[in-house]
Amino acid sequence: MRNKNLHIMVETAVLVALALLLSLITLWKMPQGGSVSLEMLPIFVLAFRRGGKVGMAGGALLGLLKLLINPYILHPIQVIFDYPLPFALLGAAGFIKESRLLGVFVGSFLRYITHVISGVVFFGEYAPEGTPALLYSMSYNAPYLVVEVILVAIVIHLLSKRREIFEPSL
Amino acid sequence: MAMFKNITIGQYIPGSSIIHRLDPRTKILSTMFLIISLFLVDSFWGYGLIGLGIILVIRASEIPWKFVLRGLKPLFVILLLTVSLHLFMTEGEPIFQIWFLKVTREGVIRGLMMGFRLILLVVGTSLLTLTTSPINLTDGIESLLKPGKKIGIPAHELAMMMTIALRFIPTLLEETEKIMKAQMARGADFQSGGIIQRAKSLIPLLVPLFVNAFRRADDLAVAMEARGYRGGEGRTKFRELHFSKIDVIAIAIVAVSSVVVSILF
Repeated sequence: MRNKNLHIMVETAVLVALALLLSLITLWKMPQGGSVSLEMLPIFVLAFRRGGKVGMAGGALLGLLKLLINPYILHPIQVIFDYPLPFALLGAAGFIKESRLLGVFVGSFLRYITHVISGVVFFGEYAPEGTPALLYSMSYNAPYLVVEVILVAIVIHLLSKRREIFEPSL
Repeated sequence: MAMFKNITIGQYIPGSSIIHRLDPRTKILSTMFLIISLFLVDSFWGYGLIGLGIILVIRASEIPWKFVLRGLKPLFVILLLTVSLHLFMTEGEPIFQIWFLKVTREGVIRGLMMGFRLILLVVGTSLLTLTTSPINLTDGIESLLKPGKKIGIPAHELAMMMTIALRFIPTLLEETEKIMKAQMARGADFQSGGIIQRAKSLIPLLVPLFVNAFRRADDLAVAMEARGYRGGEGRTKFRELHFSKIDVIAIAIVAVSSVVVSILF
């Protein structure tokens, strides 16, 4: 009798390691800041393999590890909205059964919202009143995420026939 | 492979200073005190005193300044933006005016204060990761989260997964390099073309990478089961964390000084 929970736990950990590794490989640097990598791909794969709950746990884990390895703490609320939460919400893609691509877009959109909120909190704390915080935050976070989402969506589409990636053996 | 040239995982700089030897829990709690007091303090005196405290810790940690200040590099643009927004947009007593940009006394003061706070936050928190290895930090987090078990926080499982992930990063990195070289020997090109071309060229790398990752996860799960792993309950450790006298003193100093600084300034 194999222990399925342990198996899922180890698989989550290894995929999170893969996500961290991919996050270090910059494919493009955006001119206004932010860089494009495939870090979201393993979290989506985990979410589609093991469902939304495991996907969200893996995402939160990725965020926590990023915080542990390279913390960038500017505000207590910003920490939550920049690290565990956005990546956990990516994993919510696993709840969408209809289409994987729809899952990718919904998960990424949720991630975008948390980054925008974190930006608004940051500007609210550090910029004088009257700064168009929402607009700044929305326009800073959009470009790199859009490119990243398109890239991940294409890769997920190209991989869609690979059963060994999306369907677990245990 | 050009892509891998500048990859460093984490900022930890090994050492044997007194700060390195502190229990990770001491350092995590102290960092939390630091963050809270930086948000309660609202005067140059307060920031000055906290800054002095951080400088003392940096000296005690024997970490070269070069590494401490490296953390500020990504902050530069944000720092510039914050300070200049305050400089020009705060109402108050004008000092001088360039065309329509009016610099006020209040603006200079607020801008400098926000700048100091940002610098102290980033330098202060990076000291934690500069002096503590990720594995030690994970042990510390597990121990600090243990009381949360009653409200459903799976402290042990979380720490276990973090440890496994940290352990596997170098292994997977090596594997990625190997697969890339193997595919490049077959004529693969990972570095040119538009977004669709790039995505397509990444597939021969990603498929073996994922398949290998799943195989490794499977092997590890089997090995853990074979050794009788049954979760956190009653598990013993090779390296136990323990608070020493120095930890108690350090926590006391940090706690008292942050409360005093937060109340007075």
